[in-house]
Amino acid sequence: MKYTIDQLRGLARATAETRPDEIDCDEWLARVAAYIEARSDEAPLDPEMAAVEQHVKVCPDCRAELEALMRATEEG
Amino acid sequence: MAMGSFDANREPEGWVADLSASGAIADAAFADLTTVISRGLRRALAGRGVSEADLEDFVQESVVRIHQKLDTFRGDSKFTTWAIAISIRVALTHLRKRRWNDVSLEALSRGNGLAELQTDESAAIQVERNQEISRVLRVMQRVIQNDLTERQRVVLLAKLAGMPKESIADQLGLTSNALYKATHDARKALKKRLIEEGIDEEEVREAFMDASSTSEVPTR
Repeated sequence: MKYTIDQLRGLARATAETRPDEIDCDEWLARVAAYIEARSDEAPLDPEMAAVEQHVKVCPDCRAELEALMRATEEG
Repeated sequence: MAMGSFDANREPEGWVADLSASGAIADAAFADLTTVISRGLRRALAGRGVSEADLEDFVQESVVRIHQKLDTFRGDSKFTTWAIAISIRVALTHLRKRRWNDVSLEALSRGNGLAELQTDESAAIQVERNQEISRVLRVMQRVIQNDLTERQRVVLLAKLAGMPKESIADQLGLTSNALYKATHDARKALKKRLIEEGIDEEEVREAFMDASSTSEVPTR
């Protein structure tokens, strides 16, 4: 397996964004609905919601789910 | 299922109560939930070429999963947003696993692919031209080869190859939490060593900056 520059970029960025107290994918799923509504309110994010945002910086699968949820809940 | 007037705007507690009830109330709530999930998934999966049969399967499985998880609903969002999020996890898990159905970790391991950070031709050119990228990758390579456990190394590099977490977990016999912990521990080891080598996270971001890439967090 030889990695592309985009793949290496993804690993480097995920490493840079790594935090000691991250939430895992199951906890992310439990919080993401509240996160997406908090974002649509444009209110400042509390630490629980900030952890949801941090998670998608290190997890491409959950990032794809967030993008899909945004499409599903878009108004109009 | 009983056909009543569609009521997707129940209060969150109303959804939980109705889906936990029996008889006509539950039937109506399940019918409404099916409608909500079907609409939500159609929008979420638009453009992915998902067949009607698959969509129907995803909807049915989602409704069952949501019912099983009713007692975990925290009430801090609309019930329908929470339910659609679960249905998206169900659908994308199937689609991710299907794409990687015939790929084994063993196949990815051939040629040391899950033991070290080998670069393809175009990446090698960029690494050669950019000293900062080269420096970061050298440190990461050392950590991957010397500091990680076998499980951490395989999980990290399989994810880097694009293999979905569900496929890796299945093949290694891990729970999703154990898989996440292995990846997280690997990334923490990488970051710790980078900092010890005098490379902070901002330098890593700058070294790997790419104007064409998408933003860090999706926006509407």
